[in-house]
Amino acid sequence: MAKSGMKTRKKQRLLVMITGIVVLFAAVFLVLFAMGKDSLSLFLQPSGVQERQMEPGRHFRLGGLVAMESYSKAEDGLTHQFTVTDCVVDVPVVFKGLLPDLFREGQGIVSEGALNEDGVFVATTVLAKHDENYAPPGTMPTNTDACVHPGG
Amino acid sequence: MNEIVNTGDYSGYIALSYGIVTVVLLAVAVFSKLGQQKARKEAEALKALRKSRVEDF
Amino acid sequence: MHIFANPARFVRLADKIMPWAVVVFIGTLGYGLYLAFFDSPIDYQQGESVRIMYVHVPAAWMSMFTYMVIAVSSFVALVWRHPLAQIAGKAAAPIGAAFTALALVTGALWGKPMWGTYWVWDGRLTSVLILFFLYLGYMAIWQAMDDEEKAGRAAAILALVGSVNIPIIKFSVDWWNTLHQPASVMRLDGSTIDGSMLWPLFMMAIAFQAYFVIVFFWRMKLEIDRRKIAVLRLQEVSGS
Repeated sequence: MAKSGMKTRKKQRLLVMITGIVVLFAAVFLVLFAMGKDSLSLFLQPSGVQERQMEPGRHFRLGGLVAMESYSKAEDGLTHQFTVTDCVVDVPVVFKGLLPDLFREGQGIVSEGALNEDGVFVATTVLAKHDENYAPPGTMPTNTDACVHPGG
Repeated sequence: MNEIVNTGDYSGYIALSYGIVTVVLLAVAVFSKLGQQKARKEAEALKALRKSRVEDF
Repeated sequence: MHIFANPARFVRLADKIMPWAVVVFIGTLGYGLYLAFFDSPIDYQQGESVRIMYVHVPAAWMSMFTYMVIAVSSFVALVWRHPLAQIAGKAAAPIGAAFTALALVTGALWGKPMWGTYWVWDGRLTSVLILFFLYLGYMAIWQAMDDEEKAGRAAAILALVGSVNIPIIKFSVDWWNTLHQPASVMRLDGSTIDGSMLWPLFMMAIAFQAYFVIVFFWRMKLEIDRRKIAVLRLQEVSGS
């Protein structure tokens, strides 16, 4: 009698625990998805910038790929100009400062700043994103278009 | 994403990474082992004390 | 489950596994470090800094693995009141906290030269920082409450509630825009790490896993002895 009582109590605890965990997980993930991709993301992509019609002077983070053959350095050697694209919309960027080591055309970047009146993003910081590929030199195919992934 | 190998000197960052990993993992291991030895000795001492009391009766 | 129910039997099993774990640890650590430093190529973009990955990624994996150990043992402890499960979480927590701290620190040391910053509040980095605080909170509950039984139950509930963070860490890089790169090894379409870099990574991952087994067994024995001491002291006081 006592033993079967123990068993039902264990079963009860098991049921309560499983229900609790399922409800908790469901609640947390519902909240996360209700908050949406934008509010939990580190940066806006160029399409998002256009969609939201970000007004000049408003501070935000812009992320995307540095378009191929868009990079140029001004004569002072410190002012960099390039275009950030998500392959749909392009945003011109100007940045004065030191670029991180991984910065190059075709690379993902995340940059902080604001648009000016001409629609140019004036960046105060530029961070370089690394992608998921790790390979020795000379083994990765070269690409001429930032929007076409080599080999896939 | 085109190939440009960064040739910068990262030895400071690499040395610091491996150094911190070594120190932290070693510290956790040593504290755990020392704690375990101390607890074992104390448990054995208590057991021996109890045994001797029982024998005294 | 019953095999593990008996502490004496667990200690015997642990003592049997221990020498093997030590052999695996020394072997894979030695070979892994040799590969990481002398027999693996530099990365086509990161250059030499790719070598930090060989400690960063195993530490990050182990931070999540250890949390899973704590979550599962918390579940078993709450439902079945299993004495070994109650201490397994307590024994594992400091090891997991160390792994998490190391993942954060080595990541920052790689991020500074590559990304251009030590830290950024993106989905991945933030969720791993939360994991670290969960470990601290879990250990603090064990420390703060005198009644071991109650402390264990409160800590177990925290561990289970916090387990919701594990899938968030894993998928943060897919769900949201992050600075941190997406998964390279654990992905459906196969690893995107070259074979010459996967070997040192796997060797180091096995070494970290063996390290966990060794230190976890030490800490389990420590906790088992501490409970024994408490019982013996109590008997001493009550004079039985």
